[in-house]
Order: sequence, then C-alpha cells, then structure tokens
Amino acid sequence: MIGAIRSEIRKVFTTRLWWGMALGMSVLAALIAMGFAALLGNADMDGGEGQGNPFARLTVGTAQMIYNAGIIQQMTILFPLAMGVLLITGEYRHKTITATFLSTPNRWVVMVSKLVAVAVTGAVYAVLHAAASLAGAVPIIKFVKHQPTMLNEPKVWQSLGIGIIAFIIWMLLGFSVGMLIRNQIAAVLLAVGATFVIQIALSIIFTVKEWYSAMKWIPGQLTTNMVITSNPLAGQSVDPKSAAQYFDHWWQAAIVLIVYAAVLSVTGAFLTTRRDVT
Amino acid sequence: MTTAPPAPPSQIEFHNLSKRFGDFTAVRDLTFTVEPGRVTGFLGPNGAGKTTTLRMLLGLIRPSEGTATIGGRQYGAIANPLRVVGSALEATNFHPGRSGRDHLRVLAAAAEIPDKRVDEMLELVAIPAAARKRAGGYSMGMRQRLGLAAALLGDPQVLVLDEPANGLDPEGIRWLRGFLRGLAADGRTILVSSHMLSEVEQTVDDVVIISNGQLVKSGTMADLHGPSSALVRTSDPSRLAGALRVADVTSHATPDGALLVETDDLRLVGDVALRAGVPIWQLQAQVSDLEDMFFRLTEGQNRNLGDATTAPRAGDAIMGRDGGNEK
Repeated sequence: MIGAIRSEIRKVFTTRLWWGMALGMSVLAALIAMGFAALLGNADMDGGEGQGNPFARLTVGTAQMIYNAGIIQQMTILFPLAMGVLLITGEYRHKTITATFLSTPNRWVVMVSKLVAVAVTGAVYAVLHAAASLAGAVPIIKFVKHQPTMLNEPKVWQSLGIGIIAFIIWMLLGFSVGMLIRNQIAAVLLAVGATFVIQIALSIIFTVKEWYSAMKWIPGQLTTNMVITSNPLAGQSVDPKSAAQYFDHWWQAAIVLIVYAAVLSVTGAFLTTRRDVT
Repeated sequence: MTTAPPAPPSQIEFHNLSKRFGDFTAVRDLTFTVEPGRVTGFLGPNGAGKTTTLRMLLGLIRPSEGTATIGGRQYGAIANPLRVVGSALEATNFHPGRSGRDHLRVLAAAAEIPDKRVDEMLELVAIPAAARKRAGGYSMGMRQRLGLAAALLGDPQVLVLDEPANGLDPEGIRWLRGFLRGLAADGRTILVSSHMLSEVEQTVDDVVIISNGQLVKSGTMADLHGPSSALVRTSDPSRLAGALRVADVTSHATPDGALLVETDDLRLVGDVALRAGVPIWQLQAQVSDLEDMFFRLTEGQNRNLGDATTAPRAGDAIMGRDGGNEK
C-alpha cells in the first residue's frame, strides 16, 4: 500500500502538468486577490435589497474574502477540479492504467492510493494558492489602502487552513468525474462546465425565485461557506432571508461537500474495479 | 500422475478460457500450457484474440469462462506480481510527458523495487541516456526496449510480451532474439505473441496458433516443421519409387511427375537411384514453408476481413480495440 501510494505521488510530480496548472492558478489567484483588495472601502459594492456590502469596512470576514478571493469567485477552484480530472483521465488517455493495474492488481488499493495522492496534490495547490493570494493582496491593503492586513487574526489563518480541505475536496470531485467519464476532454468539459455554467444558472434561478435555502446546497456556495468563517457584513443590517443561503458552521458545509465527493468517488471507484481494461 | 501434481511455479496455464464482449466471442474455450525454460510463440492473425487472451491472463479483462493461471495462481492473487510476472503489452502505453526513466520509477515504487534497479534495466536494454528524455519523442524501437525494461524490473520468472518485435528494425529483432533466448536459458517462462510467424520463427521453441479466438495448433517448432522430406525429379518415377521401397524409404508421386521422398538423407536417395540406373535431374531437401502453413491454418477464417458474401458483423467493431498492436 505504501508503495502504491508512493507510485501515485511520483506519477503526479513527474510530468509538467502539475506545475503548469499550479503556475496558472497562482497567477490568477494573485490577480483576483489584488482586485478584491482594491475594492476595499468601495461604497458601490452594496448588493442592494439588504444584501449588505462586505467591502464597506475591513473586518476579519472581509480579509477572509480577499485572501480566498479566487475561491469565492469560483475561478481558481477550477484548477484543482481540472487537475483531479486530468490525473485519472490521463491514465486512460495514455493507457498507463494498464501498467498501474499490472503493478497493483487490487484495484481498490489503486483507488485508495490515488485518493491519497489527490489529497497530497490538493494540499500543495492550496498552500500555493494561499501564498499567491497573500502576495497579491497584502501589498495593496497595506500600501494602497493603508489598512491592517489582519494577518494577526487566527480566524484568517483558520480560513486559509480550511482552504486546504476545500482544495482536496474539489480535486476529489474532479477525480470522481474523471473516473466516471474517462474520456479526458468530455470529463474536463463536464466538470468545468457544471461548475461554471450550471452553478451560475442555479444561483440565478434560486435568487430570482427567492429559494435562498436551496442556494446553500450548491458546491460553490458550500465552498464559500467553508472558507468565510467570520461574517464580513458584521454590524450591517441585512435581509435575514439572504442569510439562509449559508449553513451556520463551516464544517456543516464541508460535510455536505464531502458527501457529494464521496458518493461520486465511491461510484466511480466501484465501476473502475469492475471494468475490463482493453 | 495419479494425483494432480502442483503446477510448476512458473508454468502458465490456460484452461477453457472464453471471453465474450456482448454477442461477440473474442476468445473461445482456449486450453494450453506454457512451459518454463522455453520461449513460446503465441501466434495468430490480427484480431485473433491474442491480446484479449494475454489481458485475461494478467487480470485486466475478466474471463467469461475458464481460468488463466501462473504457477496455479490467478494474476490478481499474486502478492507483488511484478516480481513474479513481467509483461509488456502495448509499446504505446507511456505518458508522452513523462521520461522513460520516471515511468520505470513509478512502477518500481509500486512494486517496492529500489530505484537503482531502474537504471540497471535501462543499461540492460541499452537506452540509459535516451530514457531521461520525455517518452513522447521515442521511436518504436525505443518504446519496445523501454517496455522490456519495465517487464524485467522485478526480475520475474515469467515474461509475457505482446508483439515485442513489432516496429523493430532487423537489427533490433536480432537483438531481441538473443535477449529472449538468454532469458529462457535461465529457466524463465517466456510467452511472446506475434501476428507474423516469420518474426519469431527463429526465436521460439514452442508455438500456439489461434485463429478467431480458437486454438488451431500447438506444439514444438519441430512438430510444426513436420517430418523432413526430399524432392526428386527423374525420368522414371515409378521405378525409383520401387527401388526406394526396397531400401525401406517411402515416397509419393507428386502431380507434376516428381517424387516426394520421406527422408532427409539425400545421399541415400542418390545411391539408390544409381543402383537402379535411373537418372536424376533434381534432388533437393524439402523445407516446409512455415509461413505458408501458418497462412493455411488461419486462412479464410479471419473474421475481421469479412468477404463479399457475408455482411460484416456488428460485433467486429469490438476488435477495433485490438488496433493498438498494429502501430
């Protein structure tokens, strides 16, 4: 088992894919974090209709938003998602899955080893993401906005730590989609398309219909729910209905997201253990 | 032989093995054994079911019926199989962005084989420098060598190679021949598939020929050659035949008026003819044309080619998966 895990981790870090994706993600994360930081104190960011303005005043929650800006915008979270898809579909595309199953014929062992490798890679990405976001936002907050960076707040670091869990779950989601679909192009399009298009469509529909409590089950919303543990709207009068789009605690959102990933990955792993490798 | 003896630790045994994909039968009731210390050629035209059979042996495809075992065990039941069975299935199965050396290091990690062994194997197949480049740029010959290095990583007693000579130049084929002969001389079991008899003719000791997923012939290379004979042309075939019969040598007349003599002793034939006083125009040892025999054994049955009278079967599409070995 140790050998199979080491093999899977080696697989991830012996092609250029991992750092290419990491580089693209980091640049994007830094840019979005800079953008968020630049919005500080902007009175026009009021969501209207009692939604509140998280940038009105720098709170701990606002700092959490800025340092996780890429995740909240559901942009950088696409990188671990796509990476998860590519890690497994690449094996089918290049037929290396044959060599994998020949060295470890117990396919459940292979699947569990891959999950461990996915978790390790997800954690690496999360750390890089946090570093890039801080590098992008801190100079703007400090030198342009002349505000405290909030880096002495434990809740800011807690939020970045939870980001690691979020990245691992998203990579696992991608990995599961890849196991189920196997065709690399189709799987990437479906995973990214579902995140991008379907989530946004659902958000719009739920908002228009005012189904705020349905919003909190959307993966992107759950992720925001996880990393923002302090209310950035603290002290503002907010329509209580819109508060219904989040769970009360970050770990509740995490559990829901983990259940999504677990259902998908167990289904995918089960199919993988049954299928012929031709 | 009163009780079933345990299978030798490195004997490969196929027992009533069948595989159906939907209503298409890729392999049907295949039974044969592959012995240690010999190179066995597993032959058949493209799409005959060779790759499917090997994949069933290696636990990649689930048989519909029957078993395929190595030393009495199914592949999946072998702890750390790379140390027992080395295999090279398709020479295209490398990630183009990963170096050949890293490909082997990934496998080595899974089988808990030290990385040092990776470099030793690359030396052995003579690609130590090239293996540090990304596999996407490798020639077919290099891929075959890398595949072989992967198969040998765990120093296995059993080797299963699918079309290892495919894409090799004549020099590479000669190299492979010597390599495999050496491995067999160490007592290893070597199963090599090929769609061309001529490619492996000088390498293998035993042959197993399949066509349309069914066993056509199995035996030693000598069996395949059949008894040796000589062709004689003379002005009086029946008189020579009589004289040869006296000398205890059987002969048959051929349609074009020659004699086919069941012996490889050309001198004896000449001496008998001289004593009988018949002139000889031609006397030559008859070498059986194996390629021709292979073709006849599998001829007209290739389900993938189809013909004018039968519509192609829907199931034939399945065999498209076999296309990987036609590179």
